[in-house]
Amino acid sequence: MTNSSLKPSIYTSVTILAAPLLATQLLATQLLATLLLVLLTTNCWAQPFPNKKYNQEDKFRQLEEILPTPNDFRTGSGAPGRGYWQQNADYKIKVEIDDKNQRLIGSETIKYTNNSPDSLRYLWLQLDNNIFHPKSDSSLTATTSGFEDRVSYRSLRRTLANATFDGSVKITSVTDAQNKGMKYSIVKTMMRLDLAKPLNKGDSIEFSIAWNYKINDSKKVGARTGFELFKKDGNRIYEIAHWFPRMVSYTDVNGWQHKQFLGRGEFTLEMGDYEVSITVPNDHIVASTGVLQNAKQVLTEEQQKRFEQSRTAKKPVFIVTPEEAKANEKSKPTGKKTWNFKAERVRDFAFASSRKFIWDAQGHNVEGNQVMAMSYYPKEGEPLWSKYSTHSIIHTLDVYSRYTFAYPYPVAISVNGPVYGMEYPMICFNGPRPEEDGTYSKRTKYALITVIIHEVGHNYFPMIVNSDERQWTWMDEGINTFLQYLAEKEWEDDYPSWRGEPKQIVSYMKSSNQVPIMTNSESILQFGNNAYGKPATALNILRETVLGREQFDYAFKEYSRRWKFKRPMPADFFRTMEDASGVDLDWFWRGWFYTTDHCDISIEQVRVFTSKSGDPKIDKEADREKRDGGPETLSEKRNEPLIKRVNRYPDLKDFHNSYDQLNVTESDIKSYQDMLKKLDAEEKKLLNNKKFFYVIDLKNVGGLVMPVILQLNYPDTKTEEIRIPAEIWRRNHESVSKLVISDRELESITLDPHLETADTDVENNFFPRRIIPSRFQLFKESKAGKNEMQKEKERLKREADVRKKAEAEKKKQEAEEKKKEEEAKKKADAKKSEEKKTDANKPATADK
Amino acid sequence: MNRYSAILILTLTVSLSLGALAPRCDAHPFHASIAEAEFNVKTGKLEVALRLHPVDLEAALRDIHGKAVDLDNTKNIDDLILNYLNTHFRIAETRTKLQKSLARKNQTPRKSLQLNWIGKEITTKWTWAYFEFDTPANLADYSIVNTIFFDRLDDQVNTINFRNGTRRWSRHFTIDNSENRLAPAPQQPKPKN
Repeated sequence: MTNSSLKPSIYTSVTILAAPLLATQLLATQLLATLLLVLLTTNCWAQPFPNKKYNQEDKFRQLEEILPTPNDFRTGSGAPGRGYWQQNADYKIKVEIDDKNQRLIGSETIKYTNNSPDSLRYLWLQLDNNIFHPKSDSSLTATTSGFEDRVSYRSLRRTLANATFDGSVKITSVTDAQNKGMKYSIVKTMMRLDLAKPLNKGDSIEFSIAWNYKINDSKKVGARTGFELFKKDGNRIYEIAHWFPRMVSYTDVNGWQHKQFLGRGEFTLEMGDYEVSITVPNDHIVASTGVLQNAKQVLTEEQQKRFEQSRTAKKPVFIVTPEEAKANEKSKPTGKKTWNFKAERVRDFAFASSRKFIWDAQGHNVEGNQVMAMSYYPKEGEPLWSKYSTHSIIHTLDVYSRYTFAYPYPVAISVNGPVYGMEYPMICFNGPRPEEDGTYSKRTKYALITVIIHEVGHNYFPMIVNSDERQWTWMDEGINTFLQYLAEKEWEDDYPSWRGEPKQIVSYMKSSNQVPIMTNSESILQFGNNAYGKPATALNILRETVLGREQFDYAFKEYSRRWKFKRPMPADFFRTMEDASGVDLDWFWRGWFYTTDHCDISIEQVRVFTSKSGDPKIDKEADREKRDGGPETLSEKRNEPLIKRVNRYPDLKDFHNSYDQLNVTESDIKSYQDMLKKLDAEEKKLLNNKKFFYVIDLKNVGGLVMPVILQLNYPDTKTEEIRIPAEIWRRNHESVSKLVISDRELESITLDPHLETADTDVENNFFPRRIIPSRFQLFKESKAGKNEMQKEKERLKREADVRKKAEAEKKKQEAEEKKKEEEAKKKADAKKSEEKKTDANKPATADK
Repeated sequence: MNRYSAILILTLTVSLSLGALAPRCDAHPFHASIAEAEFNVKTGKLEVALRLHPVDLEAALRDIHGKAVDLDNTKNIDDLILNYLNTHFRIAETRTKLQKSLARKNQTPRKSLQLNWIGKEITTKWTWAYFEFDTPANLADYSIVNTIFFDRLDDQVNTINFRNGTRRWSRHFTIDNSENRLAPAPQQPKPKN
């Protein structure tokens, strides 16, 4: 019963569905928080009630009013409270992949433990594959492109497939621990299980479900799961995800988080232990979450040996070599094999299966935890995959562990198949492949490394720091994209990162039709920028500009540690970062996460003041300069030769004609001396300072309050930087004046010289103003010269020439040396034969 | 079958299978393009700098031409991109309902502005396409139809940030809303406090 027209729908659905008494106290605070959240996101005002007597929002207002009231479960410091609870769900699953018919058949027993203080009368489960029903909500609401005249063949094919393919879940039995049938009700992608008697706090319940469904052909129906058919060799790769009926999360914040799966908002899941038996054709290789329990039964002796070797190898070891995989493509199965896996403390389970897989592995030690990093890919992934995949996995584990916690799982896998990029505990599916001829562009290479870092990184967020993906996409995607950026920077110099740098988010931030980051997943427009790019950039700015690396890294690590294997909400993140860093960040979260304000700060005006020394000689000269200086006017010039009356009749002149107020008089000098006598040494010094006082008027055009970073530019090209915290805007966030005292005169002032604040208009960051040509202009100007590609081609050619030359040199040297050797040999031979001759000519020596 | 057709089939298979994973369910829903469009008063032209994902552009061009396209090496790549833009980035006269029905009857095509190609820049991260249009006298009568990548990615969002002197405005295009007015809303006089 989710009311999707109200933004905080989860909160309202709680009030309707949750029955227990203890929860009603929470409900009151949730409702209030809801009201305030609605007010905040729908009105422009930071505070709940607009202030008519000061026409500015309070951008520095503390967030307490908006964030949920701390309680026993989640503290005001952003940590799990002493009453924190979460449910547990253990699964024992048997599943078979029917390769002939592309079906999945499964049966499971779930043990669900209720650790909440509430008594539950029903349980909810997720049946995500019901999204593949022709009449599913996501199919019904899918649109085809708005072409005026044509619909592409691809689009048409996909629409037809969506309309006819039925990959929905067929439930064949639901029974309790005594094998009696249980009452259940399917609501699109959710299933409600009615309990015979309520499940109380601390109790567990076991029940079993059997189901099956048709696996989607990823070419026809794209998704996070499916098979890919390779027409050339007739084989398939299966990537299997969200494939078993699994528990919906029941939490202190939402009750049952069962917002329908529409394809956009991802998964909210419970932690638990898994034992899974996967039956596949006996010539398949299976990649899976968890640790293989029966290697002896499913791997050959040779494979087992290589696997053991790879544990301590210094680089990836093939467990199935490319040649073996290629040969295996022609094989026909002679039966089935069952692969048993066990995984502890995971929130999900996924696997892949194919006879095409090449399999490489390398053991890696992550702060004491021995992890098997493994990659599975068909020959179509070569040579790119064997070169980069396992390395990328290990790099990710190293970097992420440093920023959060040591990777706790025994295995980390990357699989190549039809899914471009999707994450599960211990395993991820990644799509990039080289061209058929084995060559790959620089772009494909970096696309592969980037997506592997990102997907493996997801192990940390949300697999272990278990945020609510269906509600808050940014908590895993945004945070993960930020860490991915850090990992990329540590891969190589100038790694071409797509997101992370403030200047890259500028176009998005100044565009209209945006929603704040704190918006439910389904309602987001410009999804990628909103949930991935903007939060990642915000965290980067927080790290580099607002907190500094040391404080940020410390606080971020604390957040990761606190919520490892637990379920954090946005408020917990905001609170923890402040709590641990010691810096008030409410203005930052408010601006970056709760509004769509962008940063555009302008230097409006700069005025310079110098102090008057009091010495009449100097001051009066300066005044004279002001009075009589400046250009002569046209009239003044023309009037000069005119004969004036007072010159013809000198008696008209009097005292006032000759007296100049600005002449220095004796009494002026005396007054000055008297004044000096009254001053002490320090005051005299102050009076004679030669400093320049610059008053810089700043205007906040974009609305987002940010730190002010000024660079003072001196005529001798030296610069000085002043970093002012954002609090400078706290009383007036529209305009503010800053006094800067300098010993020397300035030539110009630059705002945000290193482009740290995502300022959307750089032109008003310079005083005096500089004209910044548009990108278009720059390109047009550069086109006159050689373009990038030509330059690159020439560079490569030069390098190739240099190499050729060096090789030629080398060859020449080798040839010379060889020649020398031969000559030496010749000489030696000649000598030998000479000696022989002389020996032969010698008379035989008589033996003694 | 000979090797050539085998390779062709494999190409198509691989490209089709790669192509099909585009939709909203991939974990990288970063399907967005950004264009900076500035009215150059001196030259009387609307100058556009359009930033695209090279991966998406190559895939879109491959769909049209049936064979793999490499932005760096394919010979007539400029023409391919120009053709794509001509189809998917159009500035045309806005039509009222009556005008539309008359046009259908008389089979008159919609008057659209000519796109003049300036050039492109290809880097590892992005592809920038530069082109311009003659600024029409009656700006308010024109609309932009931007359908870049909509046939492959139904979650693609295209944004154009316009600028005319100090005036800025944005237009957003999605699969449900691929046509927008070109000119900004007439400026409201600022209320005096």
